[in-house]
Amino acid sequence: MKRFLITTSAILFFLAGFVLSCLIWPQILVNEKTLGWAAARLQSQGIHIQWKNVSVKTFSYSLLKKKIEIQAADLCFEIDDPKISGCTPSFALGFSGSLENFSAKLLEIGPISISNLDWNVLLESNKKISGNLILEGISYQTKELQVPNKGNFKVLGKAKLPDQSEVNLDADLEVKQKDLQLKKISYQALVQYTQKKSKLNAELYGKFGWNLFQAHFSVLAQNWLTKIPRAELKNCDLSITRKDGHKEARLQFQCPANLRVPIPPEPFKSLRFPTTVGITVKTDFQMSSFIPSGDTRIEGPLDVILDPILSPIISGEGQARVHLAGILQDFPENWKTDTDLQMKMNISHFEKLVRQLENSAWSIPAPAHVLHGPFALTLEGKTHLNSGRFPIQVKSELSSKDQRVYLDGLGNFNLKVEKKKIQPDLDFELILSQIQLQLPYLNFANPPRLIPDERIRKKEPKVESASLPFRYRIRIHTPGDRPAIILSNLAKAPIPVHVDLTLTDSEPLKGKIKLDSFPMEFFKRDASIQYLTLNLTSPSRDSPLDGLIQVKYVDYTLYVKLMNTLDKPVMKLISDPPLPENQLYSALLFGRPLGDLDPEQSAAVMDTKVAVTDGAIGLISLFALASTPIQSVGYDPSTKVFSAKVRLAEGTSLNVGTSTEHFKSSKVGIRKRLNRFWSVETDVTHSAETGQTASAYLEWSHRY
Amino acid sequence: MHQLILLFFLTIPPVRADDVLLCPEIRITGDQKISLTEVEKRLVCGDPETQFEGWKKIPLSQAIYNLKNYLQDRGYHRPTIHWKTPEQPETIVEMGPITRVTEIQLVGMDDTIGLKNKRQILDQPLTPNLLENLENWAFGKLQSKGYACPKITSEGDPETGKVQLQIQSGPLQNLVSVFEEPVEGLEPNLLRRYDAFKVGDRFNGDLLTVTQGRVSAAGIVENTRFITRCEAAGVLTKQTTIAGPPRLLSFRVGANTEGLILGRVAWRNTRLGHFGSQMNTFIEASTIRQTFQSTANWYVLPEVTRFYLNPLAEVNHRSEQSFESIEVKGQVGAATSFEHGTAGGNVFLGPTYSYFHTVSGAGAPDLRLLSLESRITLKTHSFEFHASNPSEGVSISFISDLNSRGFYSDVTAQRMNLRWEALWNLFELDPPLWVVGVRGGFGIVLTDVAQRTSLPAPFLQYLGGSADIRGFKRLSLPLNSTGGLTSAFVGTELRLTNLIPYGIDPFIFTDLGGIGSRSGSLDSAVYWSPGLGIRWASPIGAVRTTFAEGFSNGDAVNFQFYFSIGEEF
Repeated sequence: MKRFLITTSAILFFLAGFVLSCLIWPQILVNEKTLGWAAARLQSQGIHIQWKNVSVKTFSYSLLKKKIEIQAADLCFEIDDPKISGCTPSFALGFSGSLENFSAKLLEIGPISISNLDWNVLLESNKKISGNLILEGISYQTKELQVPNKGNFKVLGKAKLPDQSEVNLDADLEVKQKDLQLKKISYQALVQYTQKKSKLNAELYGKFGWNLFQAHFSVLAQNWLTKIPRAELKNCDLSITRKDGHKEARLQFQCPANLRVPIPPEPFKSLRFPTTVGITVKTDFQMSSFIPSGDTRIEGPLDVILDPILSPIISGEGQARVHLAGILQDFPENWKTDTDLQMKMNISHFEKLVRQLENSAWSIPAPAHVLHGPFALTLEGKTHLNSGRFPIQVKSELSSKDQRVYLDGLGNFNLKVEKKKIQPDLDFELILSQIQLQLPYLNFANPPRLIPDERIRKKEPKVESASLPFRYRIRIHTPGDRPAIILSNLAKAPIPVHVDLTLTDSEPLKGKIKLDSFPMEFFKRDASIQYLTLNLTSPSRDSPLDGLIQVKYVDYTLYVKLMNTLDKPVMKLISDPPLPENQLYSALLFGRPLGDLDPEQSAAVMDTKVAVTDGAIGLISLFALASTPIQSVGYDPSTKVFSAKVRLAEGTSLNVGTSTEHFKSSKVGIRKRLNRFWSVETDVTHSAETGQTASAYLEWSHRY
Repeated sequence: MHQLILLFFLTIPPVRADDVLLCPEIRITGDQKISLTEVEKRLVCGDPETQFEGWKKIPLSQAIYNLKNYLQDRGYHRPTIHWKTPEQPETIVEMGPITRVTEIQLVGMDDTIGLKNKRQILDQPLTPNLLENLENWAFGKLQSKGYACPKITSEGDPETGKVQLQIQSGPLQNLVSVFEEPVEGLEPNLLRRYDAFKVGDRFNGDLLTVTQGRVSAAGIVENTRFITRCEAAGVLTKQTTIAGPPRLLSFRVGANTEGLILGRVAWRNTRLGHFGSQMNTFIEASTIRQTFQSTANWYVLPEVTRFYLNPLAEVNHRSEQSFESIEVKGQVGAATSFEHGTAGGNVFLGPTYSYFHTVSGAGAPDLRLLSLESRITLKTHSFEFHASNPSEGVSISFISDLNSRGFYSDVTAQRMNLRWEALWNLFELDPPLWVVGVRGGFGIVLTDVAQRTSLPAPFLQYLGGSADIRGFKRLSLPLNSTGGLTSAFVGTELRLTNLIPYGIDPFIFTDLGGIGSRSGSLDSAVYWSPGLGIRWASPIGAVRTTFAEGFSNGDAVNFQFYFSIGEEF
């Protein structure tokens, strides 16, 4: 027993002595050998550390508070997972600690000095990040540390990223006695980020402490974003403050920015829009915690104010106020993002716009290019992240000597978020309040091609549109009592046109175009179009047509009823009092009774009738026929090819219709009519004695 | 130094004659000149004279847009625009190369329409009009194959010149009904006697055209056309007509291949009675022949049929190189038209009383004959369809007069003439490129007279002329002008068509023939004539000229030039 007590006492005494020795001489625990031993142990954890020389210095503030500084020369380390390695010529690490109530507390880490650390990180993708780091005088004091530690600290860093971009960091932190008392630390940092042609220079300074974070910074980003080659944030102020004893904080931010936009493509280039756009962003948020974390709630207004854009032609301005509320980690789904938006665009002198674009590829087309007056577009409304509604207003009061384009547009631009995608949606109504436009000089007999023939085009491979689907429904209509007026050389008087069209993203143009009554010349007669209605469908050539043309003769009135479709209009002739249809065609085409026609003219009557019944004469061809004296008409029902020879002027003629090819005829002899009675005819006869005999005649003939 | 001067001149870009200053601000350059219509020019260059202020000047981009459309119409799909700059005061439009059709791809059906044989599409400028014509051509082809209402679209690649023809043929359809517009004074469905088609058969648009041609040739109505409509049950057709007045009085002066000058007075009634009988009377005189004829197609049966009686009265004076004769003829025969398969024809059979008086030349001075005359003609539908531009089909005619001394005739003389003609479109190209024609004839007179001069002159067989052997004058063979009792000839012609502009077709030919002084055998003299000619499809019919050398037993004995209007091979 005695022996046991003696042995135990000796061990305790030894341990107490050892602990006391360690407290007096901590280098017993932390020295080159123990560091070497620790490094060997770390190898099993995949951490390999080597050095050439290492020295350990200890400082004793009291028996229980110590500071240890380790300095190593030519230190290299390598970590297996993740693969990080590096070497530095000199490394210094200090830390302070205390022993209180038999538990060790770390009071300070630092200063840490690393000179010229070349480091590498090998990513899983075998890409390498390398860099160089210099740390000078960095230290971190825990709250309990009562020992003042003031001075300047500097961090210099450089990293090269796999994409060849480079980050340079040059930061200074200054800790002053005064700041320490106020629990604030001043800092100043220069950050430079370079990636190929992209550069970002940020300069910031400010203070931070337990209840305050202030930053005053300026940033110059060049070629950072494709759409914004240069962005300059100048004299931005950010502050996060909280009252003592409170958890909540207030975030205030104001930042004027100048964004340089690329020189815009035509037509905006010609409009000489400013290439720098000024905006100011302001916030005043309440935050549920001083240091933002995932569960921090933020609430408050965010204002984005667009500086007025003053181009010589178009002016514009805009403002958006977003009231944000939500928890950071839930952004954006469960956030409240009520937004008030106001945007205005004005063209006060349309003629200036015309002049500016005159010689560009985006010139205002005729006949609108002679219009002058104001044009305004306003967009204002409320939105939030899940949906938005922006009323749009368009107003134009454009006019010229003989033309008017008065438009009033009202609609809503809506935004919806579906499956994290923004779905834009436009519902717009454009009222053609007062329209009077001129058509170019046209000739039905030889109408020019107005749009390219869609059949001849390069087949482009179908590309999936990367842009978001844009849903729209635009209704364009004239007021019921005020049709649009079209002026044309083809009509004797202005043509009143009622329009009610609907254009949507999902369907081709639909709606109705209706011509009111107006006088015109039809088949060389004074006539009037009573009405002409076209109900646009898809494809447009199949659009139903309904029209009535009235032609007055001495003894009767002839009505031309237009039916069927735009591509294949069918013409039905009726009269009051009723006459046979062939008689009406004769009157219409030649202005004479059927009995007065020569055989070629009666053939023209037949061909026209059959072609019209077959729907082989397009509406343009029909009016072409009606507008010029007809010489002859040919129609091949087997190919639905219609052709007419019309007289343009004395001695000249022109073929119109679907083809100018010769027509098949099973007749051997050919008769060429010179006038009603005279013709030239060739004929072939066969006889038993002489075989075939061919003849050519000048013939006078009369049917009775 | 000289080299430098030479180099200087070589490096100056040549000024192209086809650089045209279209408007004060737009210059157009290219390999070929284009001309714009008046309206097109106004829409490119503006219209300073117009009262419409909006169209006095056309903004540049709009002018170029319009111009591109007009270039597309002319096959230029790849123009390059050099917009005007302060240094370059004009916008220059380089027309670029014309896009020509390099390939036609058929989508939707196999090559039923014979696209591989379609000519005048490949290597032609790719224009909207070309696509239109191609679609129309395919439409007609499908209709002729029984696809009554096909839907056809086409697309063209402006860079490669590849054309895609997309066809929705629809079902093969039959012609299920024909509604004939009533003609005042005629029985319903009277025009059905001219049909080349049968109701219930597969629809064929070409046969409607053939039928229209027959009605027009018969003249029973002034004009007729068919309107077709597709229904699920088949094709419905409506025949619409303009009857016109029935009587026709005409006077003619002209020329024919028989004689130089021709005069004719004719009266015709095309609609006699409810069944559409016809009567035709004329007096005609040329330097060779003077004729009075009155004939009728008398539909005697009390229903609509193709059968009719064909009475005829004729007085005919001929003054040929070989003889001069007067013939008085009276005839009453029965005739009918018929359709058989892909051909239609006409048969006539009836007694004919003729009085011949030979004024001069070979032949009996006075002769009376009571003949049984028969005529058969047969033409394939394709021959009729291509009649205006012969390229396909077969035509055969056979005429016979049977006389017997024992039956009111002064002599026994059986005269038979067979003529035929066949045309082939070589390689079945469309439109044809090479047309081969073969024609022939065989004539024989079987008689018991010892001297053929005892026969009437028209009974004797002669050859020569554009109708058979083109290297000799008309009816100049045999060379001794005595006529013969047997004749035979065959001729071939190869015509190059649809290649040379303005409808000019060159052709070569050779004709071979012989005449026999006895019935059933030919004499030893063989006549043949190689030659060449030109056919021009003029607005008033085919104009043909031929140059041929006439050989008799290998010796060139004549060189002959012929000019004709309206005559075909």
